[in-house]
Amino acid sequence: MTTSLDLFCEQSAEKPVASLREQNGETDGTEVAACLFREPFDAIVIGGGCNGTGTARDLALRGVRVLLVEKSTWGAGTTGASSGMIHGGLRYLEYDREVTRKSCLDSGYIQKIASHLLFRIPFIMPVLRTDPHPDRTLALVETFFEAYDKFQPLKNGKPHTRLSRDEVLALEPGLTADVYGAVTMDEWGIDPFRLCVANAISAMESGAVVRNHTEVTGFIVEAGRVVGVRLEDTIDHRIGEARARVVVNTTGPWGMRTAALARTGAERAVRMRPGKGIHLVLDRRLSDYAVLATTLDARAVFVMPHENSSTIGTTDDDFFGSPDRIDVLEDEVEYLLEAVGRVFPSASGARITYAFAGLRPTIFEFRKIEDKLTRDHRIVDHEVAGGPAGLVSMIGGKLAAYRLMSEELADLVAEKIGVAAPCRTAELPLPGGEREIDVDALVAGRTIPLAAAGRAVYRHGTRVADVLGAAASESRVGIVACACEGVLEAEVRYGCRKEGVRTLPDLARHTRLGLGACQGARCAARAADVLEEEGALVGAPSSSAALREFFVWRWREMSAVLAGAQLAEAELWRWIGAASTRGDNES
Amino acid sequence: MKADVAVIGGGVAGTVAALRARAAGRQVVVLSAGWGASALTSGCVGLAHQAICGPSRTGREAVTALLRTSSAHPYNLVPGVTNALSEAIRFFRAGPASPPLRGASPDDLPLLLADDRGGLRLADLAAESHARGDLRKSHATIGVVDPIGLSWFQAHSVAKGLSRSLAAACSAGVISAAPNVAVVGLDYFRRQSDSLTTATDSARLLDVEGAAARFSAAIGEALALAPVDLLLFPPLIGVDATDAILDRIEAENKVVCAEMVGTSPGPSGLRFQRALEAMLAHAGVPIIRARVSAAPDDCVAALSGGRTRTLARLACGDGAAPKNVEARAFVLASGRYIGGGVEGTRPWAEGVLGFPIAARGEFLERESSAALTRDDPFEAQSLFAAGVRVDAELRPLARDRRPLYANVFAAGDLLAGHDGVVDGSAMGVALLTGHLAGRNAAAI
Repeated sequence: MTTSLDLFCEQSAEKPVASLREQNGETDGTEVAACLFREPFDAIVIGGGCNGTGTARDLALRGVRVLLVEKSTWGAGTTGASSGMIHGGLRYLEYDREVTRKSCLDSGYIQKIASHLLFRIPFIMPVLRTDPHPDRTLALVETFFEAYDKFQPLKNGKPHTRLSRDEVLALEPGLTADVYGAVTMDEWGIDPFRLCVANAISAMESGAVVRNHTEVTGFIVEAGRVVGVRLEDTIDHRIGEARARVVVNTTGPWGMRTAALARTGAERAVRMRPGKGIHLVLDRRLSDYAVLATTLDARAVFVMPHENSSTIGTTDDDFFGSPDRIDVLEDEVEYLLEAVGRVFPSASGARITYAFAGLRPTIFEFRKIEDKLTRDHRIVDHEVAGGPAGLVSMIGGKLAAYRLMSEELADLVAEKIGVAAPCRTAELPLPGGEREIDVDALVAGRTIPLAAAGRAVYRHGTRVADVLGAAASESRVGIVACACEGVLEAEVRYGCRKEGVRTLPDLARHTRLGLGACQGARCAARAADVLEEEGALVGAPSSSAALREFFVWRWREMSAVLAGAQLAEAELWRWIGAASTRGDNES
Repeated sequence: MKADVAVIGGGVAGTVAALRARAAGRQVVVLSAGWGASALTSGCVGLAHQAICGPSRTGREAVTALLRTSSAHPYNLVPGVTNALSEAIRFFRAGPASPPLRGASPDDLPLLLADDRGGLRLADLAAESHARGDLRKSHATIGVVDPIGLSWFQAHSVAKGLSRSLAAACSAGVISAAPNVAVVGLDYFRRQSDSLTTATDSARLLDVEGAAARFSAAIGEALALAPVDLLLFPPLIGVDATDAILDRIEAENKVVCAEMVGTSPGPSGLRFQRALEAMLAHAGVPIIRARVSAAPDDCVAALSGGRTRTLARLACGDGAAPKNVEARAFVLASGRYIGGGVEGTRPWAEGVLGFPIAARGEFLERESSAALTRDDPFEAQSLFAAGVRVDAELRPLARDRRPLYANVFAAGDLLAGHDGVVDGSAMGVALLTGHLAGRNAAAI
């Protein structure tokens, strides 16, 4: 059996690679040693968000030998903390027209390559009777959306419509009785974690070596040139090194820290002004429409359906702390609830199950308010930006244009290493996105709950047959591992075997298990056992320890927003968590 | 409606309070908005937390140890708390319709039980179906039932975990020898399994007429292949007729059978709650299913302090036709957040009469929940030790630290200063303070 140590030493991009899971390998728990990937890579991409996985995929498809490393798991940073929208950037139309155009254009491409992962979200922008001039405001809003309509064809969006009070209340009766009229617009949502997983898998299947839970702890710098990285497995703490002709820093808000590892002052060329954004997650899907609301300081925020929950977002505030610890503050929560409550009072009847926070890696600008900072991106070739050579970084940018940004970055890297092959990511579908899957046909004659099968098809597209094949037996193919979010046990096993799931938080991000209304109270203990059975808990002492890690992680995202009925839910959740993990506490 | 004592809350604390007042000859009524935390427990009673592999302590010794480390704990309200606990337990177990809890007094070592994740659990009192699985008795081979077709129970993981737990308990000297642990496949639920997603759903199947006989026969077939001394089931042996089913399968198969303790809500809690209600019915205490909807107008104004007054009545039921309940004394046993005793909205307040809520020894105003938490959810959390403060008579205090009403008492999870997840005393506190509050209310 190969150990991950061997993999660190011997695996090169030339070796056939079976799965992320096999790359992660098995642990023997004892050996810790420095070693090298024998063959140098062409490029090492650091960071497993949309830009890192997108760039790694792009390069791998061009035949470049790539190592992709991520210190947590795919999408766990900024990408996963985003609103999950492949949108045109309506908010930027006012300040940053070019960003809106690019986003809309790339949104169209992303729909083509990841059709299974995108879902249409109709937005309602209500105007209230309490507005001093509701007619005028409605006309103004409509004019604004008319400008946006010009971009809509780029992303298969529908043009806006204007709705009367009766029409909008018929569409969404939960809106305030104060509504005067509304304008609709059209955007696209995505599960950002799945997008990153799909890109990482595509990169791997095109020959890249991809490792999650692998942190870059330093650069190898020779004669003023970055020639490689030092690596550490963040779970079993084994270390290694890898060399490449170009190292790509796509670590988002960690970008300055990553560049600083070169100890040459490279971080000055990637100066950021990170913007913190939080989202609140409600225990139920309140509406099939997203509803826009205006905050006290006149910003647009929304409540948006996502799977079985609803998401309220977002804030935008300068942030000065560590990107590894972003706390949600009470005033941020109140700020969002105040705005949403005014237009959509029925949202206040739901429990806020948790809140998540992330950082936009926004480009530094002085004397601008946060909302007016550009959402455009910048690619920095450190060779021409004060050194060192061999390192390129990307800062800024939007999820909705990740593919385009990755293409530009991959162009630069390909040029540096003399690869002429063109970018193929605009046409070549991501894994699972090759064609549509008929859910009814999939479950016909089998005991698979239709709702859960639908979710599996959403997350895996054409690969769903492989997912179902991971079930322990045909009689267990329909076993639901997470009832709140409709996750099959087979999907848990598949995640362990094929997507590099090594912890319960990984699993939650990859599948949504444990992120629903009960926050894992019903499903996490069993899922931990399945992970142990699958041999996925490399480096964790037991399934109880893995379970405990999950509860601690959920508590961090839950404890900032505990109020009302959620307090009762959390009290029970904690009793269950303590009872399920106690054996481990005491041994 | 009139009564001598009105108890708000029908969980274990409220039930004991009502029974105690009734035993003193009072007319008692229980107002219950619905089942709360008691129905969500495993039905086992612990007096204070003990490490499984720590020194073997009696319940009394564990309580004494807890008193040394936690000065805010409600046990401190009662002089000679261990004797008072003994008395409360004796009272709880004495009635003819009491739940058949096993274990004895705080002077005994607690029962050592397996839980349904393969961990070990200590319980000072436990339902018969759990207590039969006391692992302090020696067993050569323990069988963990694998009910084929029930996806919610992973017998192989549990057996592996139990084996590990027993080995650890053995090397710590808690038990003298670690039994072998085997998995016993049980083919009973296979064809019925499609919709059985919870333990409670599965358990209900065994209450059906004729089910026990078929179940027992299936167990016989399983044991023929793998004989064991003790057969452990996940908690699914019926909801209504558990002990009768157990007696039958033990007699027919000549093996000791027991249920593992549930780590999440299941049939054991339902049985426990039903047993509480049977005790109330037997004692002639009516349960009114209604939420207390209104407190007297003057009580909120009085919360700033001043003269201690007497509460005359509460209104309960829906807004259209609220019912006044007049009583000479009232007991609040409405739980913490699950029961609704502490409202989750701010400013922090007790749910019925608006008493101030205390945490960390201070009354709260509008503090955020987050300010009352720590990073590790299973460490002591002020948020989950919040509740009303009381005087030595268990009367809730207003902000001036004096009781607002001479005739209102509080018991159970509503009391500040104890976090059951950490100190393991939630049931002990409910029994003790329910007993005392009932006694005090009866004396008004």
